[in-house]
Amino acid sequence: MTDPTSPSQEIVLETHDLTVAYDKKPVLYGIDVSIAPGQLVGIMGPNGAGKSTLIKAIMGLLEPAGGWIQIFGESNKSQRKRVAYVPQRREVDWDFPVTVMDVVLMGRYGHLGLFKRPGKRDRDIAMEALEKVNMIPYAGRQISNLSGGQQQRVFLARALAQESDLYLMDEPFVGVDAATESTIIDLLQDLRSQGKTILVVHHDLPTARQYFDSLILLNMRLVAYGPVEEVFQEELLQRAYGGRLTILSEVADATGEKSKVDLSAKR
Amino acid sequence: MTPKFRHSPPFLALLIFMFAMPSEAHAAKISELVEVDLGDQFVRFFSLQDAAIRHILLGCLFMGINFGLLGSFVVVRRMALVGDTLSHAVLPGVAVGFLFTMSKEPWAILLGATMAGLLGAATVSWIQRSTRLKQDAALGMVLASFFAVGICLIKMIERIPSVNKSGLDHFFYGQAAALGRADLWMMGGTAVLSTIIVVLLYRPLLATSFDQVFARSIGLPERMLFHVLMLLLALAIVVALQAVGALMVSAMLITPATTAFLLTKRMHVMLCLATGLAIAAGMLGAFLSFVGEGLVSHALPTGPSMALCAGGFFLLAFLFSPHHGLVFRYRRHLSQTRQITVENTLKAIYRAMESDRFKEEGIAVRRLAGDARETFEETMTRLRLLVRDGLATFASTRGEVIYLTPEGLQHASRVVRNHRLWELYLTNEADYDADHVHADAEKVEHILGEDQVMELERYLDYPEQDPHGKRIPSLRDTQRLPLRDLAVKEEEVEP
Amino acid sequence: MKAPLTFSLLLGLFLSSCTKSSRTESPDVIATTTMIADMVRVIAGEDVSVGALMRPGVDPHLYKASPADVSKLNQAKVIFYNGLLLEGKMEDLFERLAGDGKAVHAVSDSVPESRRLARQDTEGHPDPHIWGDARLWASTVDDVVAQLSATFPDHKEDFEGRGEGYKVDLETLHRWAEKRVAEIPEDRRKLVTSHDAFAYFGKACGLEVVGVQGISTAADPSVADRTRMVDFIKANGITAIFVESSVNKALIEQIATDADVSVGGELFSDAMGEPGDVRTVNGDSYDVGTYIGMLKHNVNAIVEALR
Repeated sequence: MTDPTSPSQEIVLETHDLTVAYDKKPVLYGIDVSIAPGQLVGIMGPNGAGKSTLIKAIMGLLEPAGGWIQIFGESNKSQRKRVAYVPQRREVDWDFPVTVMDVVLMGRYGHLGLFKRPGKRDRDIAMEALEKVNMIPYAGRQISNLSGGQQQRVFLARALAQESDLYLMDEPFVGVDAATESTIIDLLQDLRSQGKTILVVHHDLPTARQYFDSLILLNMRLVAYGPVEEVFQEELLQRAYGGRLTILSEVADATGEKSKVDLSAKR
Repeated sequence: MTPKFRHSPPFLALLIFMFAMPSEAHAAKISELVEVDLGDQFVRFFSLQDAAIRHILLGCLFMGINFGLLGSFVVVRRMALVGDTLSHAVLPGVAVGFLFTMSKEPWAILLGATMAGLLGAATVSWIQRSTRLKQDAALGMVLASFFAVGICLIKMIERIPSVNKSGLDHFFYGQAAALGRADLWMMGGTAVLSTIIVVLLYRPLLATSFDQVFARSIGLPERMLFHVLMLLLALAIVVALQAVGALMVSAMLITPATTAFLLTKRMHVMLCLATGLAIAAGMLGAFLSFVGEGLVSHALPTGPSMALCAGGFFLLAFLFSPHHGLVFRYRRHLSQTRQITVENTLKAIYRAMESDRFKEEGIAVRRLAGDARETFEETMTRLRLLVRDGLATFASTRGEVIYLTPEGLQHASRVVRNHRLWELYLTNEADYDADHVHADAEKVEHILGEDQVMELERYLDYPEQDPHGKRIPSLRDTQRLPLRDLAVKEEEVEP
Repeated sequence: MKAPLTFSLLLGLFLSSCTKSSRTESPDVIATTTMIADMVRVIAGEDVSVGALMRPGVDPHLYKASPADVSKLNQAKVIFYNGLLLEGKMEDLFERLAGDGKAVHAVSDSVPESRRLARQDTEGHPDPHIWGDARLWASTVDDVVAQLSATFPDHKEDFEGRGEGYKVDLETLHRWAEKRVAEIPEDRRKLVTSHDAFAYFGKACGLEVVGVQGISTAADPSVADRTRMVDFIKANGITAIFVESSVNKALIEQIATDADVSVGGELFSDAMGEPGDVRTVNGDSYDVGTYIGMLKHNVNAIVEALR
C-alpha cells in the first residue's frame, strides 16, 4: 500500500515482499511498504510481531530471506550515511569508560571513515545535537551516571549528529520519564517538519494516535499501513493484537523449535 | 668475592689419600659460589650494566605496551576470559612449530603459536554460533582441549630421539633468564604493531567496542576490527610466553587493565594507565625477583613476581582509588552515618523543647534517653558528638542537662523544617497517608539541599503547619533564633 | 620438505604407543638411563635382553614413566636405576615395584657414603651424577654382576668375565682422561655448564665445575643466576662454556653472548648420544652412544676448547 498523501515525491523507504527469518523461524512475511519523506511513522504490534526485526532488516543488520529493501531508490547498505539507527537501550554496556560527548561524537564516525579525526565542525554538530535534547550540562559526564531518560536522549543526540534523512528508532520511549518523552516527541516532530522521515517502534496505543502521522501495524505480516486515523480501527487492531492469528502463526510454530508467539493483547 | 678451590697435582698417593677422606666439594652451582648482597644487587639492577637486566627490562617495556593497550580493549569488551583461553590455546601451535623445523627456531614457534591461537578464537566463535552454548562454555572447552592437545604433543616430542627439545615445557612458566636479542626483536615488533594500530584505528575500535550494532549500522567494518584485535592479541601472548610463561600471561594481560578501569572513566586515560601499570608491574617484578634472593635466600621466580606486582597494584587501587576505593567509601559512609546521627539528635532535642513550648532552655538527658528508648550512656555518646561539633553544651553545674548553642538551634530547626516540608509534600502531592510519611521523611531530610527545600516551600506555598499540626520553622527561623521568639510563635499557632 | 617427515614421525609415534609392542618382546632387564643400560649390556652380552627406559637426549631429572614404561617394568625380571634421586619423578614407582617383590637395584647403592659428594642445597641428598667418575663407575660393576647372576645363574661366569674386562676398560679410560685434562693450563681448568652435573667428573679429572642450575634441572634459573655467571666467567678469565644435550641450550648460549665467550661444545651430561654415532678425535674413534664414548667425547670437547 502506498501513502496516498504525497504521490509524486521521492520514496524514502520501500520494501517488497520482505521476508526475514531468525534461527530458521520466519519472523516477517511478505512486507510491502512504501514511505514518502516527511513522515513520522509508528510501527506497532504485539510482542514477537517482528517490529525490531523489521528495523534491523532495513538497516542491513539482518539479511532478508526473501524480497528486497530500497532506501532512496538504492540498496539499503549503500545508503548507510543517510540512515540513523537508534537501538534499544539495553544492548549497551553502561560502565564503558566514555562520556556523553564521546558517545554523541560517534554519530559522526560514519562520515569520517576509519582514519579521519573529528574536527571543529563535527564537534559543533555534536554540541548542537546535545542542545536539542537538553543534555549540554551532561556533556562531560560518564554515561553510567545517567537516568534512563537521559541515556535515551544521548542515543537520540548521537543519531541527530549523524545528520541523516531517515531515522529508525527501536522503542525509544520505554522506561523514560514524562519530561524526556515530551522532549523526544517534540524533537521528532521538528525533524519531520524539516522533511526527514522517522520510523519509530512503539508500544503504547493511546499515545500512538497522538504522536504519529501514519502507522504500520505488524504481526509477522503487514496488517495495515496508512494514515493514523485510517489504521486506528477496531477491526485492524483486533487483527493485529487480538486472539490467535491465522494459519501463519501456526505454520511458524510448526517450523520453529521455539515457544509459541504470544499474540494476545494486554490493553 | 669468589672462593677459589685449588686442586693439587694428581700424584697417585695423593689421589688415594683424597678418595679416602670425606669428600669436599669441587663443584657448585653458581648461586652457591657467588654470594648475593642485597645492596649490591640493588645497585646492580639500576646500573643496567648487565645484558640480562637490560634484556628483561626491555622485555617488560614491550610486553607492558602490548598488554596495556590490548588488555584494555579486552576488559571493556568483557572478553577477559578470552585472554586466558588464548594463552592456553597457543600451546599446540608451539609444539607444531617446533616439529616443523625440528628446532626451537623463534619464528617457527611464533607462527605456529599464533595460528593455533587464531584457530582457538575461531573455534570459540564457531561453537557460539552453531550451538546453544554461550561464550563462557565455549571458552572453557577450547582452553581445556587445546591445552590438552598441546601437552600431549609436547610429551610426544620429548620421546623423539636425538633432538634437543628440552625446554619446550618452559613455555609453561617462562624462562625470563634466557631472554635474548631474537626474543626482544619479536616483542618489540609486536609492541610497535599494536601501538600503530591502536593509535590509527582508535576511534573505530572505540565505537565497535562500545556498541557493535551501532558501529555496523554506520558502516564500520566491525568484524574485521575484531579479527585485527584478536590477531594482535595472539601475537602479544605468544611473544610474552618466553618471558612469563603461559600460566602467567593471562594475569599480566587482565590485571593492569582492570586496575586502570577502577581509576578512570575515560578510555584514552585507561589505555595509558593500563600500559603504565603493566610496564611497572613487569619491571617491579623483575626487580623483586632479582634482588629478592638477597632477602629470602631463594630465587623468586620472575613470571609470578610480575603477576603478583600487578595484583598488588590492583589491590591498592581497589582500596584507595579516590572515588570508589573501599577505604574512601568506608570513610564517606562513616562520616555520613555520623552526620545523620547528629541531625537526628538535634531533632530529638528540638522536639523535646517544642513540647515544652520552648519555655525551658535545657533538656534533661534522662528524658531524651527515655524518648529514644536508649540507655543513658548511649544518649550521652550521641550528645558528645554534638558538643564536639559546637552544637550543644552541658551545663557546667548539672552535667545531665543539655543546652543547644545558637548554631545548634539553627541547625536543628533546619533539619526539622526539611522533615516537615517533605512530609507535607508527600501528603499533599503524592497522596501519602499522614501516618506513612514520617519514615520516608526521616530518610530524606538529611539529603535535601537548600535549593530543593526552598523550591518545596515555594511549591507548597509557604505553609505553616505540617500534616501533624506541628509548626514548620520558616527560613528566617533557621537563621537567627532567640528562644523566646519561638515560644511566642508557639502561642500563635496554638489552635 | 620437512612436513611429511614430521607427520610420519608423529604417526609413527602414535601407532607405536597405541599398539601393543609385540614387535619387540619386552626385555628381561630394564635400565633407566642410557649409561646404566650400556654397562648392563656390556656385562650381559647376548645372554640376556636389555632395554633402556630413557632415550638419548632425555633428561632423567624430569622424566615421568608412561603407562607403556610401567608395563615394561612390570614384565622385566631385573630393574636397574641410578638412585640418589636422579630419577626424581620415579622414586615412588621403584618403591612399589620393590615392594611387589621385583629385583630392583639402585646402582648408587654400591657407592659408599664416603665417596658420595654431598650438596648444600638439596636437604642432605647427595649428588647423583656418579657416572662422571669412571673409577667410581667401575666400582659399581661388581654389584651389577652379582644382581644379574642371582637372576640368571646360568650365565654367571660369563657375566663375571665381562665385568672384569669392563672394569679394566674403565680404568684405562680414567687414566686417559686425567692425562688429557692435564694438557689444559692449570689456571684454565674450569668447566661451566648448564647444570651442576659434573661434580664427580670434575673431581676425577681435576676440573673445577660450575653450573648455572643446581643438581636438578627442575628448578628454573633466575636472572640473578645469569648475571652472577657472567661475573664469574669474566673474573676467572674463562674462554669457553658448554651446553648439554639434555638441557635447554638457550640460557648458556645467552650467557656466552653476554660474557663474550664461545660455546665450546655440547656435552653429554645426563644422557648419552645416539648409538652408532661414531666420532673420531686425534685418530681415536668411539661411539658416543656408549658410556666410554660419551666420556671420551666430553673430555675431548672440554680439552680442545679450554687448552
